[in-house]
Amino acid sequence: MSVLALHDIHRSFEPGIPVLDGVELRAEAGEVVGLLGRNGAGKTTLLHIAMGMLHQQQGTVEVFGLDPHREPVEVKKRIGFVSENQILPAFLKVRDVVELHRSVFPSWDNDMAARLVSRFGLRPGARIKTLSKGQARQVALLCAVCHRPELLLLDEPAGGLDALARREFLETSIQALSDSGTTIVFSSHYLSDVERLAGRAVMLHDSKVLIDNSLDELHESFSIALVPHRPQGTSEALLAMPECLGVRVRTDAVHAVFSLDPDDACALITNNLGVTDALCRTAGLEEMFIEIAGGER
Amino acid sequence: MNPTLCLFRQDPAHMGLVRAVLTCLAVGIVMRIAPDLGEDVRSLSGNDLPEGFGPFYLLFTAMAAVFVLSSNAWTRSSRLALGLPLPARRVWAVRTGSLVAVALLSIAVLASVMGLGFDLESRRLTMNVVVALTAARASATVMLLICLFQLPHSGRDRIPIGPPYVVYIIGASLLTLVFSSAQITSMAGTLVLLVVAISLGVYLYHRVPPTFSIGPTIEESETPVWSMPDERDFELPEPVGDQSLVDSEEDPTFALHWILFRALKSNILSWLLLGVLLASAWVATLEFFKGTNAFLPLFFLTIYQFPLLQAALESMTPFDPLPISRRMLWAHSVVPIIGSVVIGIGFALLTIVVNPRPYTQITYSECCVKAPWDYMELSSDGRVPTITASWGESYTPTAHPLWKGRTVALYDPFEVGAESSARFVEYQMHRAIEAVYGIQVPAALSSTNLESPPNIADGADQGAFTLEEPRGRMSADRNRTAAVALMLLALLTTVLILVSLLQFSSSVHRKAYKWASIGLTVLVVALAVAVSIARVLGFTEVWYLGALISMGIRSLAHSLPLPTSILWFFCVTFWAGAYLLLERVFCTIEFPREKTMNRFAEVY
Repeated sequence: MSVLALHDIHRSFEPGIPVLDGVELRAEAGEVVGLLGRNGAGKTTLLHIAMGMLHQQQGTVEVFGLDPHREPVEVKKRIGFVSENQILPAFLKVRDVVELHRSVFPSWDNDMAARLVSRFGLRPGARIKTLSKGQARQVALLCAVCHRPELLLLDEPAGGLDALARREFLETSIQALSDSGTTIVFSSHYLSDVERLAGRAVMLHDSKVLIDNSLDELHESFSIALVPHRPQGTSEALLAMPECLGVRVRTDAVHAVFSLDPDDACALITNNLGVTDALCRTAGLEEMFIEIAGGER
Repeated sequence: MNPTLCLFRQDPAHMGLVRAVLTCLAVGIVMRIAPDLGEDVRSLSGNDLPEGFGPFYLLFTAMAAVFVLSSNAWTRSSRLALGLPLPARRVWAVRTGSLVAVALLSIAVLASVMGLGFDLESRRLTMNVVVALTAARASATVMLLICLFQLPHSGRDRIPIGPPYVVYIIGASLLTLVFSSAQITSMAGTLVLLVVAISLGVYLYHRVPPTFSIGPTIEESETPVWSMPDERDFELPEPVGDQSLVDSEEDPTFALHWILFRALKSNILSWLLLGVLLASAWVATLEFFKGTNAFLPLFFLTIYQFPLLQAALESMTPFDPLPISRRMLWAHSVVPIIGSVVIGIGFALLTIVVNPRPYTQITYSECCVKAPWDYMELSSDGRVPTITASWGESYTPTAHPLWKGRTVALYDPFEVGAESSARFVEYQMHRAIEAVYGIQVPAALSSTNLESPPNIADGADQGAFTLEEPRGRMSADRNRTAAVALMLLALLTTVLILVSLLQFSSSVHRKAYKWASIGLTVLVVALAVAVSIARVLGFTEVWYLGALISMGIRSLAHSLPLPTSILWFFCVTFWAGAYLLLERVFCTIEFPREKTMNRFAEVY
């Protein structure tokens, strides 16, 4: 049984404008999944649906085999969640926020909380409204991990944190929990974090899942082809090939992402379009993301 | 567009103008048409505090102050405006101008509703001079208060609020109010206040630096007497040391409930609205006992639930990701509302019990007999039956056409005329008692001195009814009507809250529910305004509406073939059902939240 299973999820906020259109996502125990996509791609909506905070208009959601809408309390007790726009009650003190979480999570680890408070340099008596954005985010992260959740859902967890705090958090929480078998699904615009931490990357594009592969597969089986401008090598012709995920027209060449290794991609272009001087190579996650997200499909 | 106009349009005070106008309109209408207060308005004199126009002056000032405070009065510049190439003085002037605008508009609306009249003979609109002068005094006071609020830390983008500032502002406000409430209608006093306010405004304008600072300035670090530390902590956090993180002694469940309570009611506006609900329930219960105008307080009781519910929903958003059941959140949202209403009802009952005057449903005096509105009757052709006593004396009650020129009219079957004999007044009185309380008044009471109501001793000797008997309780008939009225109120409240909640449903049609909710509110306010205008123009009277509603409810109560106890059982079941139904819907809604991160979203 998957820890998280989202099947055929549809969701829109306005009629005719889907945010998620038939999205599939599964996460197994102990897996670390990085969720990628441009702003507005639906990452936050997808994580909120997984939490049961938004309702899908079609499709099914199962978390630990339970429906988060039917058994929200049971599900949420086993999840740690940090939202991109995390709002902690401004009038509470750090100590109050910890107290609140301790009261609702039976598995709350006081020692871990105390250690993290100390490590982050937070003052227990400080009110949330007096904290900086990064400190408030640290409090939210602390609350998400100290009950040792079985599933950690993080929506831009490092947003607002400086490089050191981000690294600190990722090392202390994500890696620690991942090592202890917690399933982690996190969205991030820091692709280096995704490459470093995630075992699998899921990319949302045009309301659908465009890529759902392990990072190893992405490195080995995906490539970028730089196709010189030729009458037969147009973006339309490239997009007509099912293996072509996206095309971006640049001044030097047409950049196309293929779900094939470089050799196969070049062979395909030569055979189908007659272009023999295309340059095909493997690409990093960030480059691939830019080519797909910034291009057409 | 002109940047000044752009800033004005984006100002939170400007955004709250509609809310201010609607609220002042509603409050003004109540003040205008409420029987006692309305009488005060009509019989205005040059009288000042406390019998004369003092309460209205305080109302004007308080309403304006509420809208000024809810428009971020302590913020001089938004973070967005700070980053724009605009002089700080202009930003400050726009901000302050917006606050003044919202204050003046609130007072203008209130004064118009309460002071405007229509002279049928000259066919001209008239304005009560005392209302106008009082409004002018209140406007000058609020303008001065706005300037006084901003006096400290004029170099900062927002005034840090702390204990010294609170002490300063309370002292300054009290002094201003004491000074300005003397001789409210004196024009000279108003002019003095206005001159002081404008002078202070000009002084503040010149003290505004070229750009605002978001932190303490160097000069301010000298710590003037009324300064206070900034809300935002600019120092590095101190180490944990020996500060304990959790209090192991505290009961976690209690901690959870306490935090939820504080979170949901942390907004001062929520407390104000809870106070309004309590007062409405108090007045409504008293009015209901008397059988008169209970529907206006009930109207406010209903509409004030929405902003409270909205505030509760917004306050609960941070708790949504936590494993806290929606039932608990629902209970925390509505129990304070229900609690306020219950406390209001309790106060009303206490008022009835401890009041030395009997709280009867029939007003009795030598000149007239006033039965509850429920017992009025409707004549479709405008002809009113003549009431004839057994000895031949008769009287034809006055017909009150529901609309000027129409035949459908209300009349009071227990009315007596100025020429009616004392015996006839007594006869009508007995008929009213029989109708309202269902008890035959013994013949022995017929000889009672009509200067005062029949007393307890006389009634007790006869083992029969006296007017003091219903003190603290309702007649059987009213008891039945109350059960049905509460059921109808439950139905109305349920429908309105349901529509309000559905705008947070997952349906793509949530916008339609949102507009339906807004539309309903506007419709109700528009109806109240229309009736009020019709009354001012002499077409109808507002109490006709209250009487028709009362009569309808009584008629419905009597048409139901069920004993009163069963009706009360259904009433309680109805309310419980409504609570559970709304709780069920609440469990399925999505809390309001920003769809995207907007760095300008927190500009105020």
